[in-house]
Amino acid sequence: MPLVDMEAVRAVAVSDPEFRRETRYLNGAVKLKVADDTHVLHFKDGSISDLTGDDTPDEQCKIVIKGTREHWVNLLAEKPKPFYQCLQSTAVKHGLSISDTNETFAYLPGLNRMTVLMRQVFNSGGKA
Amino acid sequence: MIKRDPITGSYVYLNIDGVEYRVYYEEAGQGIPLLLGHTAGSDGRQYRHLLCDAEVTRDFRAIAFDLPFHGKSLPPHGEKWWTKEYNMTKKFMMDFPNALAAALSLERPVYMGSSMGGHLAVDLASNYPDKYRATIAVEGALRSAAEYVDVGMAGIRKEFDNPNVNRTSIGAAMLLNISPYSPEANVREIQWEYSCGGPGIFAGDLYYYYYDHDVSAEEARAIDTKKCMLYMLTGDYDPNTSPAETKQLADLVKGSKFWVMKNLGHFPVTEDYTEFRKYLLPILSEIKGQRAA
Repeated sequence: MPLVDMEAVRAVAVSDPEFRRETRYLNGAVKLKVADDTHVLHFKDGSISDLTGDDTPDEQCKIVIKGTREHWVNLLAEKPKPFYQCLQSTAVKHGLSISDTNETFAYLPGLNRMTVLMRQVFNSGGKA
Repeated sequence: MIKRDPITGSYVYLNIDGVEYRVYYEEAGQGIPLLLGHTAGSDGRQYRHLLCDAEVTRDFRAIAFDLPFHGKSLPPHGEKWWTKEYNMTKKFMMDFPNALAAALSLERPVYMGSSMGGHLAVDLASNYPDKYRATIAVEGALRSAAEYVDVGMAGIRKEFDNPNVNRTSIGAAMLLNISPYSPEANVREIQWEYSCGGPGIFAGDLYYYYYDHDVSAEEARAIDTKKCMLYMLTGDYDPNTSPAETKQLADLVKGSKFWVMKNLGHFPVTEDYTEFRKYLLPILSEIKGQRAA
């Protein structure tokens, strides 16, 4: 069973106003390696068009985020301990990997919102 | 009945190194002057809660300024500022509050600042102990955390001064500095203020925050807290200047005082002022007591 139910995340993301706004105009793949699982969110003109497994090489993705089980469990805690409060602090202080493409920086508001939605799903047994 | 904040805004003209700056500041209260310095890429709005705190303004004239290029302090009119890359320097950071204090005829003010303003509290205590009766470094240290310093200005500009990235992302990036215990409305306000900054200003401020502010152990040991007391407050969720970094400074400055603020981050004044004031008020009380002694 995956650590995070990304189908449930997708279900809330598609109707989340902030996520929809902050991913506007995004085209391409966002790859998440969550412990042993890989999820690829495919975007077309700002909307999620598909959610797949590890079918897209990193270099073909606009954004790639990779973390161990420890990274994600701490990051997705309801009240994360220092410095797991967000993707970037987890990267700088605890070694989570985040790409440094223009899209990564441009869509950081969307990635932050995605993290919040993942946290909600993670802490509600798959239901947000 | 109309609800109002007890804050007055004014403009003053300061001349620093031959350049005239039209500077905006807000103030409230009377008594011991308390200059308030904002974080990199933001402005004096961060102090709006403090300026409305009657327990502070009863005995302190609190003055929150916008540095030039920030908030309502426009770039200097008549200067071709657009022909140069903006980088904040230690010299300008120190010259500015000195000039403001002189212009407002403030007698040995207290200075408090956060983030780069917190680093400035250390630089002022070290370089101008005769001008300030005390300084309060909020999230200050000898230097910022090495993981961030090592990024370099090119990396900083790629993230924060990149034509492919709009300024909403600067606000979003501030989440890394914020405690998960802070009320979301306050978090969003911090992000809003960061999203309002001028082009390239946040990145340029980081030149001071990460590089030009670099206090040696020898310099820290020489800070004379009998002349200018140095207080330090650091939130335990601040990765840029963590409690470990501030402790290095506190251990070197004889007579200084340092507290770790639980469940607060890099922007404690705005993140959760209700919690922050629990640490601040005893410091202000001590400063007030020294004046009376």
